[in-house]
Amino acid sequence: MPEKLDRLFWPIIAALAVALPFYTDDSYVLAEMILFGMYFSINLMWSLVIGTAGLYSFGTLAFVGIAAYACAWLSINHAFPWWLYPPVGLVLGAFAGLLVALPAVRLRGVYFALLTIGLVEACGQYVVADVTNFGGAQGLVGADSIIPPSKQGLTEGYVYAYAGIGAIVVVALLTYWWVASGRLGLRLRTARESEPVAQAIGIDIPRARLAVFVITSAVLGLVGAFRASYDAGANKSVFSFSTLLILFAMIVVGGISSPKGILIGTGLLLYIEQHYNSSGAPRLIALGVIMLVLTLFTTDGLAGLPAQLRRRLAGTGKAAATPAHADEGS
Amino acid sequence: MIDVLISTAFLAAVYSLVALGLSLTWAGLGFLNLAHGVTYSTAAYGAWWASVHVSGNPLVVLVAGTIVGAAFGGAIFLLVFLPLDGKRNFDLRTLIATLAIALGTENLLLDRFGPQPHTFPALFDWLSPIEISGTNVTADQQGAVLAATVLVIAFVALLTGSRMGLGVRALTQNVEGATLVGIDRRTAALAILIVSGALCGLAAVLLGPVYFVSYDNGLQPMIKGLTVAMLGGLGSVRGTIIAAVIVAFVEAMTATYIGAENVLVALFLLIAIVLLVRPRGIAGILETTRA
Amino acid sequence: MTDALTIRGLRAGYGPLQVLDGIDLDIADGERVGLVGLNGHGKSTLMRSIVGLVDWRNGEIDSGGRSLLRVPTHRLAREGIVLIPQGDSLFPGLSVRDNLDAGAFAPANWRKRAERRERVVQIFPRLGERMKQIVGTLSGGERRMCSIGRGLMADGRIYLVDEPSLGLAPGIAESIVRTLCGLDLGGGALVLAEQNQTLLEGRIDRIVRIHAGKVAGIEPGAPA
Repeated sequence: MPEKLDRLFWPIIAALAVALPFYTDDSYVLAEMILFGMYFSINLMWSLVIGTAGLYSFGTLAFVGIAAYACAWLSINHAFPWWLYPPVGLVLGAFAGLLVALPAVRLRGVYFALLTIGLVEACGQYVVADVTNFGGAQGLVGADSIIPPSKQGLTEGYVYAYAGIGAIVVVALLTYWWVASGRLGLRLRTARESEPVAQAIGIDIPRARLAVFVITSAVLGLVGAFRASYDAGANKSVFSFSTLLILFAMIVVGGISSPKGILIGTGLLLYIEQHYNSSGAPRLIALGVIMLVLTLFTTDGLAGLPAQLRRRLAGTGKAAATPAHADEGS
Repeated sequence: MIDVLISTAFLAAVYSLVALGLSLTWAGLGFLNLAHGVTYSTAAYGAWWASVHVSGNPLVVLVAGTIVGAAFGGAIFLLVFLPLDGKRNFDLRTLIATLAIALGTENLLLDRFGPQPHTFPALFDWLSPIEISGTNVTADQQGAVLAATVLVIAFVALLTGSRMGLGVRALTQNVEGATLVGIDRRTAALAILIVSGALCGLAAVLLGPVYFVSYDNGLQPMIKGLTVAMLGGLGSVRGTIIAAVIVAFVEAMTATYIGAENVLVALFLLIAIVLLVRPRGIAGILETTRA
Repeated sequence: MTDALTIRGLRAGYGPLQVLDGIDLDIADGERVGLVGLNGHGKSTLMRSIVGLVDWRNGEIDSGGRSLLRVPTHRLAREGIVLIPQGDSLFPGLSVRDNLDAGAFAPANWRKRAERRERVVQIFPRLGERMKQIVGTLSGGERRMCSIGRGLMADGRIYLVDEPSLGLAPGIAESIVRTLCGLDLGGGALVLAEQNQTLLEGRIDRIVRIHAGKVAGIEPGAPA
């Protein structure tokens, strides 16, 4: 029975998603779902990098933001229509990913984290400071939008954007499954568990990491392209560190190892985020506390909790041994 | 050019204070303390609070910032290191835990003290501004450079001259070897985190009069500190100090001649290039020239 | 004579792998014991499990009537149970002097570190010339001397030395083992694991043969 439910999970989600615009004329609901779609796509790609590949990248938003700014800039200065954004985002995301990954995949875990946090901050500062090209603190406005001018602000207009993000979520999910269950995913997981073993069986680790980084960055560029067309522009909030933290919390709460966990984590925290918006800071304090507690008490997030409990119930047998030593030679 | 050198001295002094803690925590304890930024802001608030409610005496302010920073370091020991040491997924979980603390604390500060920045009392108004070939050096700048230099020297002396300092250095080199000579990893961890926090708090107090005190102003120093720590080669004290000077110089040069908005971009390029050539940063370069 | 170390039914290993399969062994104060046996039969694991550097262990390890099983590794080191491990476990980025001083980390030893260092230099004059050099740049033989010297800084009750000849040229290996066996340990016991039994001949009190995780035989050390 649960297995059957398992197989039907995604078809049911897809059917609900397609049916939604026919049943609601509330533009607020659609706007929420659009935001959810963006966050979900970003988190899927992020979990491939951080979970499957074990690369502690915090650069996800940089690729989204770079693509969004580029699309908006091209539209304003060179009259690019909205349907040219996706190819631009895809190529630019992949290219930016390649540039960052070339030096970064050779680095050890934390160096990667440092470099990518720095990247997001550097991008954020740069666009704010460059007023002539990127409009400074206001950002870029007046780019072509996926929502036709006559439908701006109407529920019908949101349906266009809803369809657009739907397509991107599908791309993100397919990419996730393609990478995670394919040869690349296997190579990455092997390298994550033990680099010597991976090398011994002939896996080119930097190349596999480069590949996953470029692929995910391309999809993130796609999300950026959508964002530019949805906002009809771009502004510095795409690089916000607190958004990055919230996105990270979504992955952590859900557990980074399954799309279902990411769906739950993203949905749950976005719901809290949007519905308790009025309480501002306390909500984020609570989020910090939840993240901390979950991290201290679970090994793989909420989604990994059942497995962890099973291990605990089953596996205290070997306890007669004195567990002698913590992680050696970190 | 003189003003570039003055800012270099100022920034280098402060960045080394922030970066040394990050660097030792990583090398000795194996985790990246992403709550270092909020340690900075919390200490700044602590010092500011003391200046308003206790006394504006520079010494009181300095001590308050140091104590708050050290206490924050102790909290990280209790909340992150102690529960997670030796557990599964230590790398990722410490990263998440320190980020969670960063998120929670930043918003706690926002909630308690509001979004508006607070001004800090002048700490060094007993020094008078001096002029070096036409460039004015403010009292705060002089004081910060002097105080930070003294602190860095004292810290290095502690690290190289004391028993616990040797223990910490040994731990950053070889965990098993350290255990075998009788060094307790937990005691060393507590020492490292408390001293890192205190140094970070001191940096916050020294920068307080120059920038303002606000809930999110620890992020920038942390990113600069991380840059310095990484460039210096995590765990290397000498590398970190050299890296602080380089980063400060690049920042001052970029800000003066190209524009402040390009500082992080320039640093980012610098790091990317250095790490591409020498994955262990300046420490790697020091080692190869020694061999 | 009292027993420096009493081991009963010791089993130990790493993860699912069991290496020691019930070791019984007594080592008296001041005794010099050679552990011999083929690679992979448990010499290193025995030494490492005495100080708690294995994934798991059970059985009994006592010293002076007290169980050592619950004492953490760093405490044992402070109490004078000194392991000089295979591969040296030195601090490569620190100077020879810092490495030696670290060996005297326990507060009681720290105060006497200067005179201890002098003693180490008397035993290994080569180290005296290299005091300020970074350990990572020493030769293999010098590193071994530094590793043994670091152990001697602790003035231990029990020295566990794991394959001191490993990876060294025959001449240097012999001289190091000879020096080690000739040391005046002031009543301290010495346990030496060595694959090459001829190196030990005439220099120790007893030879303990380890085979397949068990004690396969105990012989008196041949007279010189």
